[in-house]
Amino acid sequence: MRDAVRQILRIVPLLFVVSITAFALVSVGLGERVKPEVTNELPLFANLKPVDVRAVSLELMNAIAQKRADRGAERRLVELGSAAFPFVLPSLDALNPNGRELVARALLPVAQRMGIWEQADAEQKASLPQFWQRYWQDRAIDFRPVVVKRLTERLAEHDSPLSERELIQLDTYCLNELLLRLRSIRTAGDIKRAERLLRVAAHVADKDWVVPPNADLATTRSIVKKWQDWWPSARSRFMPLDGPLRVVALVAETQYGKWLGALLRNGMGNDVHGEALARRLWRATPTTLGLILPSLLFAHVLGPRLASWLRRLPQRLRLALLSLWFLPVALPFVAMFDPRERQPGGFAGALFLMLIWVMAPVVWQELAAQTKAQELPASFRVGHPQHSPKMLFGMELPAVLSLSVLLELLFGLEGVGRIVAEALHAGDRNQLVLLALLGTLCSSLLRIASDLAIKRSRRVARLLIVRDSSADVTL
Amino acid sequence: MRTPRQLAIRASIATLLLIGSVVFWGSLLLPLPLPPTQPGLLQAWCHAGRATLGACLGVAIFSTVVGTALGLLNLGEGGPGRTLVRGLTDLATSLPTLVTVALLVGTAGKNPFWGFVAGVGSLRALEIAHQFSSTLSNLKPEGAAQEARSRKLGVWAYTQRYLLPQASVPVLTSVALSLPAVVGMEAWLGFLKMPSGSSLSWGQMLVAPDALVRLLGALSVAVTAGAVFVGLRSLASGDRRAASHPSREPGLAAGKERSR
Repeated sequence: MRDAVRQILRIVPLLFVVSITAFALVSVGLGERVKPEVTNELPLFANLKPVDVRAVSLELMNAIAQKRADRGAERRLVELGSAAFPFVLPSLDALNPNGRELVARALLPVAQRMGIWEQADAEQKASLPQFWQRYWQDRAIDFRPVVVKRLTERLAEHDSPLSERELIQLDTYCLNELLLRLRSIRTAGDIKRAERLLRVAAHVADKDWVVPPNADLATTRSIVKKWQDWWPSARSRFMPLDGPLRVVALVAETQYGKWLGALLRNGMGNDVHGEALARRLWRATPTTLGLILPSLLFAHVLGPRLASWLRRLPQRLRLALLSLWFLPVALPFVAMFDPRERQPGGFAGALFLMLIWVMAPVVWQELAAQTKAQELPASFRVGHPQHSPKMLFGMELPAVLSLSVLLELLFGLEGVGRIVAEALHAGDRNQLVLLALLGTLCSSLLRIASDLAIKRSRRVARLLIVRDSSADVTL
Repeated sequence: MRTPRQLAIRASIATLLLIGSVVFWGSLLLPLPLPPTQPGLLQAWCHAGRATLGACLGVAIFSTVVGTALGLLNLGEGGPGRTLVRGLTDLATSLPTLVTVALLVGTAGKNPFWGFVAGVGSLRALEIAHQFSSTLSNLKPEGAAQEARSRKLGVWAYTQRYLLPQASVPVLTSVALSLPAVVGMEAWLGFLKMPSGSSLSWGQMLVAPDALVRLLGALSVAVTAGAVFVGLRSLASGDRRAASHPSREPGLAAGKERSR
């Protein structure tokens, strides 16, 4: 039992290592076919220069001031909004007058969004740089976490037009605090809270993800989830990375970090059709298990017996059978593999083919092994190979799963293989790595169970379950 | 008087030589038709065969070398070698073989053939490693040594007739299985319209729209796989003299035993 606990504890670091390796393999293997995502621009595993709002805003400001930028840079600066103010506005003085004017003009849409431009008089319009300098002198004191926290707390607790207006005037600087206050949505009070907070968030982030009046729980949750999915990938663009955050960002601001964060936060997520992956896997697993398990059991329980029976045949006939062993594997291709047509027969047809394909190599190996075993003196043999259903799983499983992928597609079955094939076709890296983790988890648990069973039956303990029917004999 | 086994071995080697020669020279002399259609079926068959047999050879060599090395590493109980092999196996078994190979082909970039060989070969290598180490660690040296001593066999004869035949079994089994493995993978990738090692292969012929092309592919693979298997029997017997000197216990040749 102690061994089993130790092996179960080993699964956690194993999953971690597999996740990293599988992520690398899938990323490199898919190459340009990886499903486009915002995070694809990040480094794979280590971000030595994580980009935050400070770096982005100063770069955009310099590009605009030196006329190196196109309209896209101005748009991005507007998207950053007031989150860039603590870095851009104090630096305006350092720019030449022309550059200062360009940057101040680029920030004008932000002022309009914040509702502070309407308050300005005609004289201010004439000199935008002065407007911004004066604004920063007056309002810099509001751009502090404590102020934002107080305002968002107030808005989260009750409807407060004043707080709402002040938060809108703080623009994107308050986004993080607003979204942190969303929390889980369970009651009518939570819906109202989300409605108030997201009204401000949608305004400052220029998105239409608002909770409609009289929204129900499901609608509110789906909108909140949109924000919660978006924010982790966008957070570093609106927040400075200082102190410990910068250290965390070395890993967190990578493709792997974002994937792991999303996995821990949202669970399995959705498949390529947008359906919850966990639900689909739950529905598809019986079909795949129904194909795999009977085939493996039949092959390993009946295979040796069939081989024993075939061994009694005359040598010439046996040799002929051995040399033609691949025919039963190849002939179904001729009969059924017209890729233009979906094959009739459904599950029964798929199971029949699976039985043949799994059984043929097993019978062949058994026949070869048993034939040769007769030729060795008894004292030279390594003990008769023992076959047991609990020794089936291991190296064979991925190959049999591949067969399942093929048969599910050919016969139009809804199984795990189809999900894998769809993820591969769509270049859905996240889903493939997740399926790899699930595969590792299943095979590790099966191996532990098998090891326990073997030890309990006083057989030699084996770290891996592999077929060794031919281990003691020659071909 | 030749035994049926000897005849079968000779016939299989002749078949392999014939198929190999036709495929090799045919692919060199005839142009490549794409896609494989009935008028150009022979050319297509030759080119496809060359790609498949080349991949098969590559997989056999790669998996033998890597698998044997990993198998030796896997012998050390609780050592870092075993941890490495175990970790690699866990990784390899985490995804269906098909997906792993498809991804490895993708990593090879402009050389998909080598990616394919490395993909299929590395998975087979792990299987060889486990079977190889399992075989060696399960040998019964005491009984065998006693048997050898009673028959007055020297160290070399003992190694040649006892250790090598047993240790080579998993390797040769895997070599025999490399053709079906390669063809199966080519067929699967072809069916899923994923890039594989080559544009035309026997595996892809198995999933072609034309039934005649599929039949030709199936027969080619079946005949070659059978011939490879039977041909390898002659290598796996350990003591080649056994074939020409049948005895009651062919595992020990009935020829002259070298005295210690």
